[in-house]
Amino acid sequence: MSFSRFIELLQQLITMTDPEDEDQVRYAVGVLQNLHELARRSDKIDRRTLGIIYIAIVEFLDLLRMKEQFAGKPGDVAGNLAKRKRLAMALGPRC
Amino acid sequence: MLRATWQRESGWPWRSAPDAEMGTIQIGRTLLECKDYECSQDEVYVPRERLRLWLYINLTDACPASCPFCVHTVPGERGGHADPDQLSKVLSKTVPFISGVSLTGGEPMTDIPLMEEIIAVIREKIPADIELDMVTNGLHIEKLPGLRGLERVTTVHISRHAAEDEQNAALMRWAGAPSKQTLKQVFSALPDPGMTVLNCVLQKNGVHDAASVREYLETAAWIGAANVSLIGMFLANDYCTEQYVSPASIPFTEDPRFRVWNHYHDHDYCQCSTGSYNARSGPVRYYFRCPGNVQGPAVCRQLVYGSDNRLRAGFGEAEVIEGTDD
Repeated sequence: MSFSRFIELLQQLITMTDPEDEDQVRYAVGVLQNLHELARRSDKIDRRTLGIIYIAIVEFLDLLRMKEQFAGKPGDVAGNLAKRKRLAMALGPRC
Repeated sequence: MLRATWQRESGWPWRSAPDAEMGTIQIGRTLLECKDYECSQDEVYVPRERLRLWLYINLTDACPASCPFCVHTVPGERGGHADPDQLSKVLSKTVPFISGVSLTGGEPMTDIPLMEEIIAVIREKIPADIELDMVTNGLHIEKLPGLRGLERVTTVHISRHAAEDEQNAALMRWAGAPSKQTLKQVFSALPDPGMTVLNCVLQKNGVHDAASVREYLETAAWIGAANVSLIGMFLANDYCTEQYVSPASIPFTEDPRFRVWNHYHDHDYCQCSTGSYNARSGPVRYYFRCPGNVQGPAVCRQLVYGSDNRLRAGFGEAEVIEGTDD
């Protein structure tokens, strides 16, 4: 899995998850935890992306609190891309 | 070939500091050595998938502020302006090597039609997945929501170096610096307020410790800024040397209102970190960037297109493409 593919998935999880719904939050974090384990065991991921999945697991609630900054909107192709870039810059190195 | 050899000999994809090697890119007839690994959280440096550099475009040298810590040489005393046609030609050659673009100056909002023309050139020449930032001191900030091409811009960085208006204006030596009330109104009118970043250069005369960082972040959250960038100065002159405060010295982890998400570094050359702050008005994301002020290897770390319409291998460095007709 590439970094950019992971960021797409993470944006989708943030978009779908209602921060007020504990079950939804648990499902989303579960997806990330399982992805991390699968990626680690398969060795089909680079170390940087693996580390960033871990950060996303730990900080998922914080990301949800800033949902408006990162969540996609149907049809807003340019806006959704900008938000993915923002998400990538928040989790990865700055340059 | 160089990269393939390095991968074979270094046990790719993992390797450890300090055996960093550099990759080479060619722009025009110029070969540029540049860093070919990602910054690290844990001393393990991962190779970059592609060798690319950030491009800074200085639209103009003009600026109404006179920040004593400005790395620009003599603000307001030179008259150059980026030429959209010339820039377009340069971008045709450099696009494969660009990881992101910052529109800066001087103050780019001194000439809004030029800014809009440059954004149009970038929209035509640079793929949409390449980040485009603009950096402004807040001049004509009320015109930002109506800026043509704003939807192509990923983030807008507005310089503000203190929580309170008077202190900020004093530090920028510019009475026209926008007030926090003005910024609040403008940010709320943006189609995507998440694009906003307040840039704060840390200094002993201004934001310099945990308490003043908290005060600043509270103000930023009240304004409605989604992000705050805390910046460590380059030691560009005596003022910077006397006033230097490292963002890395702020004890973020000692206050539960801060959450530190990550902390990356490039050996000792520079470091950056991102986190969030739980302000009374809501959460605000902060990050810091901090040059180590340690002499690094002589590599190209960015491309700079100046208001003299020349492309250079860094601020004050040699020209990369001699003449734009090349």
